[in-house]
Amino acid sequence: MSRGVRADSALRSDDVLSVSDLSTRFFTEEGQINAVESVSFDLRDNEILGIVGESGSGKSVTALSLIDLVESPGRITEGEVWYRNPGLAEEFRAADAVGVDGDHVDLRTVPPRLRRSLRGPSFSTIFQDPMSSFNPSITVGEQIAEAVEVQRRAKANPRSTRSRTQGYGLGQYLLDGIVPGRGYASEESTERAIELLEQVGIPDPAERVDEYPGEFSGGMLQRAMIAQALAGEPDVLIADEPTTALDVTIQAQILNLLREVQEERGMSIVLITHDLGVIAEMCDRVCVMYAGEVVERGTLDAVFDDSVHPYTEGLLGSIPDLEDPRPRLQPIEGNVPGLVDADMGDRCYFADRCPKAMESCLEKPTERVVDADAEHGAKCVLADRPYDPSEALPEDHFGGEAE
Amino acid sequence: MVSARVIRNLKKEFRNSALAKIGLLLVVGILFTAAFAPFIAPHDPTEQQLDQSELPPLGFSETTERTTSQMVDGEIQTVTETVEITPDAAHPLGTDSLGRDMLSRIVYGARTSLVVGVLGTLLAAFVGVPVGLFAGYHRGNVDDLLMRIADVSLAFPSLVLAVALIGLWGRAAVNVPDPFVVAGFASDMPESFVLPITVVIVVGLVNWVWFARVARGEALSLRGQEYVKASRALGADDTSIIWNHVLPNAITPIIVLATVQVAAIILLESSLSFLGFSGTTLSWGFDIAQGRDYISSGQWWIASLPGLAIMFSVIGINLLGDWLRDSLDPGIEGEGGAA
Amino acid sequence: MSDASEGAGVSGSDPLLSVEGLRKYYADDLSLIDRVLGAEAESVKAVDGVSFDVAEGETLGLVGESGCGKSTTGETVLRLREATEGRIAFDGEDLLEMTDAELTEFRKRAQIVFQDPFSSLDPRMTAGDIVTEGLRIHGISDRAERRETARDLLDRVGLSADQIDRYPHEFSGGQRQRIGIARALAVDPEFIVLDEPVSALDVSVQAQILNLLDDLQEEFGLTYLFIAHNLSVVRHICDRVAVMYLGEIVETGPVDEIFADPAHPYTEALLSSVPRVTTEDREAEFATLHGDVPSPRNPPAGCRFHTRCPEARAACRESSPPAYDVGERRSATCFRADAGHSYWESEPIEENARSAGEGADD
Ligand SMILES: Nc1ncnc2c1ncn2[C@@H]1O[C@H](COP(=O)(O)OP(=O)(O)OP(=O)(O)O)[C@@H](O)[C@H]1O
Ligand SMILES: Nc1ncnc2c1ncn2[C@@H]1O[C@H](COP(=O)(O)OP(=O)(O)OP(=O)(O)O)[C@@H](O)[C@H]1O
Ligand code: SF4
Ligand code: SF4
Ligand SMILES: [Mg+2]
Ligand SMILES: [Mg+2]
Repeated sequence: MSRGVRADSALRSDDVLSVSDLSTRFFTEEGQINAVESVSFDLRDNEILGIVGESGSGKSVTALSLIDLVESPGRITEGEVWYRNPGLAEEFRAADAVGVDGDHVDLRTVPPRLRRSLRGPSFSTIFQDPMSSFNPSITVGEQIAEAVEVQRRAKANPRSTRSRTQGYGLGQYLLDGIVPGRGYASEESTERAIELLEQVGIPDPAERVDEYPGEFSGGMLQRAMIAQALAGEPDVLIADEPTTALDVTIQAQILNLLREVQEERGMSIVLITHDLGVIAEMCDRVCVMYAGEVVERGTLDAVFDDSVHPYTEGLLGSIPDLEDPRPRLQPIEGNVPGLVDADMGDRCYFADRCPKAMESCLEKPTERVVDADAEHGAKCVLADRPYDPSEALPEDHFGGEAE
Repeated sequence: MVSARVIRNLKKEFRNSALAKIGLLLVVGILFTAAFAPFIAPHDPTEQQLDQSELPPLGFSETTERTTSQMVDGEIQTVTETVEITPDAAHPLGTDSLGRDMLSRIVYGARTSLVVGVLGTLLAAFVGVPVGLFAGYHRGNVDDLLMRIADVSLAFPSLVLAVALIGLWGRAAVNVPDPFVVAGFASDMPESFVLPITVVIVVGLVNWVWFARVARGEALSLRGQEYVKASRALGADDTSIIWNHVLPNAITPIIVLATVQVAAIILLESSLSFLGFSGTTLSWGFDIAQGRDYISSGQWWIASLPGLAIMFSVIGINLLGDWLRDSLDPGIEGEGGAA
Repeated sequence: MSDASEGAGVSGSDPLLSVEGLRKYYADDLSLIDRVLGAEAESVKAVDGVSFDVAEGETLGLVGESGCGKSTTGETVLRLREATEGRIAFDGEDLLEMTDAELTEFRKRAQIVFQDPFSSLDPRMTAGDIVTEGLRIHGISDRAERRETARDLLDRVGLSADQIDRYPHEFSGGQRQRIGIARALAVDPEFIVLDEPVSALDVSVQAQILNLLDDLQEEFGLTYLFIAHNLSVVRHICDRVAVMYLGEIVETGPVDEIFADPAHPYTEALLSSVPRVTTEDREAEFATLHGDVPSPRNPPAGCRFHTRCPEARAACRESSPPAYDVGERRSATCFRADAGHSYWESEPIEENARSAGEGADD
């Protein structure tokens, strides 16, 4: 187990989730795409962990890998996802095939059926585009009630997948077809759905519950999606760019709401975004992703104020400052690489765009500890040594293909 | 319009799809047959050999009751004898009721079908595409009007419409000299080929609506594209925008529709010939009409062989259309953002 | 309603672009049956009485939330959409009165760059053809010369001249945006409407494009109308800014002054909603507005912002505020700018004040 920035390699008792060396690949016609490469991070109790990076850096695939939702042609090829759940740990302690360590189980080794049944009650997700996450032909209330129902059944009989689909057999299905509008959500679930809608700040929830997704505005749908995610009372909420499609004033509302539910329920949130501002306002700890790797991680202060990796610095230098009038921006030159395995080479992936690339960067840097207290680590040689211009790579080392 | 990418996609789809291969094979086969009919056909398709009539195809023998009347002792006696008609290697697909060689008729029939199918489709496209693009691009009243017309004409079965139009105008057919025969390469064959002009015009006018609808739909979505707006901002007029931006980007579904239409028009032509409206007697549809009466008396091949020819060509063209659709459709847009 | 331009007071030379009382309503398409029954078309009041000036060489920012009419304004001032009402003057000439020939000339002087790097380039044309489309349309130079120009332009916007024969899908988003900029530059314009040119781009690429736009402005003496919803970007690139809400401009003025001391409650709310990229002074909660933007189909009576305004009072429901002069070339459409207005005596609208205090929690 390589936990890098940790002094000891043991799991901490306050880790809800601990990911180590997770790799996900897509096997496409263009070749193997290394969407997630050896990613490690921990999610603590009661915290918001930010994952930030540009488009295509592997943030969404990382999130999908956590909940085992990577679809073909993608596959998780390596890694461990330790999840704290004393009940499960007890159940599998004797099983050889399943990794168990104290209260943690390695989700990669438990049966897939069980892994699936954890979605909802243990992990919930919110996606960027609420429009496409709701079925437009079913009322919002019914869709939330469905999530409540699933949770109720799972609670009643936690180990059975059958319980999740029970009561919705063929007969029920036919009946639904004949008598449209009679959902299979029970009255209690609908009641709970209204309660949840109210909690996420939807006005007149009792009426809104019967409306269709098309009648909601973008911000309200995002609230509804959060309500749906909360229905399962999850330990971990994964929010993949929850506010990217929204206006600033609505974004602020949603961020406030997320912070509120996190505090109220003591959940842990993985917040994925490409907006460094959102990270700075919301998160306790941060992972910066580039080309499928976590290139720098640590507490917010460590990563933002004492950044080591030139990519993190570049990102921070690229954003115009709201307070500070027009200094010239310091952008990172070039473009994000395509992640095709054959083109990646065995060097620091950022070297072709890095203003401080040196000879020693042509060898792939491992994660180095910058500050153990702040759990600050970086995959960059600059963590160990200062920049030496005499070792700088010549301008055209990478064929000048970067624009 | 045809970029290297398109060609790559075409090849890829072709390699992966057995159906595409079958389609191409069928279509190339039919094209070849139609083009070189004088060399492929063993006989003049119009030559009647009454003593050779109703021969079955190779591999099938036929027994027929033949009634002959004889004068025996001043009385007329009818003698019914069962005769066996054996196929003749000179007519591998048999002959029709007038002793014309079926194989030759089918080979020549391919010309009529293809020419009507292709010309009819081109005509339909030349009328329908500009109308549809114009309507979709400009919207408003023109659009409303055109689409009303389209809806109404789609409400009539195309065969009924075609029959009505032919009834209105009469039918016309022109003789086109066959270049091979004129040049003296195939001396035993008919010297000209009958082009049923009315049928071409009628099927074109019946089917333009399909092109108009597809083109309109494409134009409607393309007119909102930002590159169209950018072109307007640069000062381009509507005609050149339609020509430079809308048409090239709408061409894929139009091509695909065209292959479907060729098949549909072949069927329509057959129906028209079958009903006797086409003006040519060398057509699959015409033969089916002729042979229909003989099915009950056992000469099944006269109607069903041209029927099979229609079936194979329609299948072939549709498979080809599917291949084009699959390889052109994934769309340049869908694959954007190459790193 | 008085015009913002009056309040702004024209300083020095005449503006390059002057817009007055611009309205653009989108009428709903009525079905045939509706028309026969004589139903009246309801319209979306996308832009409803907007006035502003853009001086030569300056960058005016147009900010506001999605659907407030920014793109409609940008496209209407270039006559890509027909205005319902109002006056647009470009370099002293009335744009809405132009003949076709004059309009063709105008198209060489004013250009536009779009937001979406994917739909803004024709997928079936090569980079070279796209960039020189304007030259072709206006019949400037022959084929060989155009190709030479295309190479120059690609080079100028930071692409390689060798990429001239590539198709758009072979470029990344940032590179495509550069091609879009080169296309606009080809006809040598004076004025460019930039409709969210960096919104779809990654931050690192966004910074590259912003720098490029800065350089080009300096090099060619361009005037920009910069449409954006990202306030940090506006702050970075604009000289003056106009804040839009529901089809109206609620505040205009120099960007520094407005950002330092917003006069309109909406501007203030926008500014405080932006997450700051610093680790200092993290607040427990954003101060923000409650509720959603009302539909532009039937905007609220009185001040359009009163349904969400934390400062709203009864007076705001009754009449709509004019644009008040609040400084040199600055105006704000809010009664609070008028110390003598009866607004100050009227009752606060309770629910707004409460929800503003509680942030998102209604
Ligand atoms: N289904 C798939 N097939 C092939 N490649 C994929 C697939 N899904 C993702 N990828 C690749 O994986 C890489 C990471 O994608 P991912 O969606 O995780 O990026 P992201 O960081 O979430 O970006 P964004 O900010 O755009 O959402 C990309 O290079 C992408 O092309
Ligand atoms: N062609 C159209 N027909 C009808 N309504 C339209 C049309 N185009 C825009 N609208 C409406 O006009 C209003 C203003 O649209 P506009 O595109 O100008 O907003 P915007 O400020 O540019 O928003 P965004 O930030 O989302 O680009 C919106 O309510 C929109 O729905
Ligand atoms: S390892 Fe070298 S190339 Fe990579 S980010 Fe660090 S300094 Fe730059
Ligand atoms: S006029 Fe009233 S409602 Fe409108 S912005 Fe000013 S205070 Fe708010
Ligand atoms: Mg993503
Ligand atoms: Mg817009």
